[in-house]
Order: sequence, then C-alpha cells, then structure tokens
Amino acid sequence: MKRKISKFSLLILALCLGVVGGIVGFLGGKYIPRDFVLDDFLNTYSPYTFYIATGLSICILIISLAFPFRYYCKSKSMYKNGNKEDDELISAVDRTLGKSTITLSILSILSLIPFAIWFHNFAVSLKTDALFESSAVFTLWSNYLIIFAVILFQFLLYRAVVQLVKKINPEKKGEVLSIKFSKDWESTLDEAEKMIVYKVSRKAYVFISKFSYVMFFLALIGDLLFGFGVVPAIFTGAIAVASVLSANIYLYSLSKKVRNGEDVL
Amino acid sequence: MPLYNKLSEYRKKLGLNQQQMGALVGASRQTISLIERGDYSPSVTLALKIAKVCKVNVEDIFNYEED
Repeated sequence: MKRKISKFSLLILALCLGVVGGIVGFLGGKYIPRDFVLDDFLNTYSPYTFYIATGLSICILIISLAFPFRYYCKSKSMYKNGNKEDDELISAVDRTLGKSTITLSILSILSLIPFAIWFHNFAVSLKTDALFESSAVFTLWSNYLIIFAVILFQFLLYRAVVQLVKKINPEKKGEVLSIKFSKDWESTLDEAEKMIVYKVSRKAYVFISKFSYVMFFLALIGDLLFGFGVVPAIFTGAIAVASVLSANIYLYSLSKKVRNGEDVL
Repeated sequence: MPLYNKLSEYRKKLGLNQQQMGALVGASRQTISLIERGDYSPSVTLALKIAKVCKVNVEDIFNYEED
C-alpha cells in the first residue's frame, strides 16, 4: 500500500493542492472585499515606510557584523598568527572563511528587500505631491544613504574575503570589481572543485525550478485575493522559463561540442 | 566502494605540505586534502601525476577495496 501511494504521490499532491486552491479561491472571491487594506498599504505614500526599510537594513547590518564579519576577522587572525605550513590550520581557516562567504551571500540578497521597500515607497511618492516638501526629500535621501551604505559594506566585506582566499590559495585568480571575475575564478578550479560546483549547481537548479512554479501559483492566488496584478505571475513564470530554457540551450551546445570532438570537461 | 590511499604518508616523506603537493600535481590544496581524507577519488590523470611526484607506482598510493 505504501509503495502504491509513493508511486502516485505527485498526483495525489496535485489533487490535494487543487482542492485546497479551489476552496481558497471560492472563499476569497466571495468574502474578501476588493478594497482590502493591503491596497492602501501598497499604494499610499508614507514617510514611515522609509524608516521601516532603514530599520530592516540596520538589522541586516548588525547580523552581518555578528556573523560574516566576525568569521572573516577570525580567519584573518588565525592565518596571520598561525604557522602557514600547518595543513590543519589552513583547513580551519578555509572552513571559517566558507562560513563567512555563505552567511554574507544570504545577507547580501536579503539587503535588497529594504531597498525594494524604499524604492516602492519612492515610486508611490512620485504620484503624489509628497516630494515637494523639504522634510520628505530629507527622509527619502537620508534613508537611501543608510541602505546604500549597508549594501556597500557587504560588498567591501565580500571583496576582503575573496582577497584572503586568494592569499591562502595563490593559484586562485580574479578581481571582484572585474566583469570577468567569475570566468577568471572558474579557470582556476581543478577537477574536485568543478565536481563540487556541479553538484551544488545541480541541486540549486532543481530547487529553483520547483520553487519558481510554486511562486507562480502563489502569485496567481495573490492576484485573486489581494489584487497583486498579473506582473508578479509573469515575472515568476519568466524565471521558471529562463532556468529551464538556459539549461536546455547549454545542454544542446555541450552536446554539439562533444560531437565535434571538443574537450568540454 | 572506497578508494584507500597513502597520499598523506608519501607527502610527509617528501616533506611537502598540501599546498606544495597541489602545486606540483596541478591541483588545489583543497583537492589534496579531500583525497587524503578519502572524500574524493582522483581522476586517472591526477592519480598518475601524484604517483610520478612521489616516485612510486599508482597502486602503492591508491588501493581499491570492495565493502
């Protein structure tokens, strides 16, 4: 019985989601008024929204100092004060730098959320006379500078981490400020590192493909219940299409190179 | 099916750290570390390069045993 259920698990999940979605859609359409408070929030200018965005940005800065910056300082100190010939020490420094890179990557993406909130409020304010008041202009740009400073701090920390990795591993090349950074860095990867990159990329691709389909349907439900509009659904659909299309185009070009006898690995 | 190896032993006999060994065989320090821990099985090319640097046969360094 368990085997039969697991064989048809995807179908069962789709049926359950369809039923739940149908009930939510019916109740939402019947009972949620069109002038829901979310419309007011999304389309009204408020100076407090700028401060919310800045507050979020400062929280991200505090977390950045507590984690990726602290890990970076610890790695640098271990490397500077330790015996550089000691393999165990270098491995420990590498692991700590790895923690710094992972946490910094996540926080860098999260930093875009306060910026998006600031930008949305700025866009809404352009439709009103709010920006003609000097206090509004001060609020707008002072909050922007704080958000920008946090993003700049994270970028400089990322650059410092990369510089330290290059110091520990002299064969690594690439300058963060250069457009060719990814290409230069990848050219220094050896077979084991390429295998790690492949496995990580594969997992990320599979996750993003599934997640973008889920977000697409959530965007449709958001339009039905809260009046999001069709744009979120189009954008999330575009992400799903782009990830599948790019993978298949690359697979085709790779197959062509293999047929021509080129070394692709 | 693990690939057992004595890379660490031979490397220490030569007085090299992982970085230096990696530079000689064209691999990174991390790769040498992964191979020594048994977390990565090198390609034939890399295994031959390692054996050449250690001046032994490949079978002297890498040993394949079924579970």
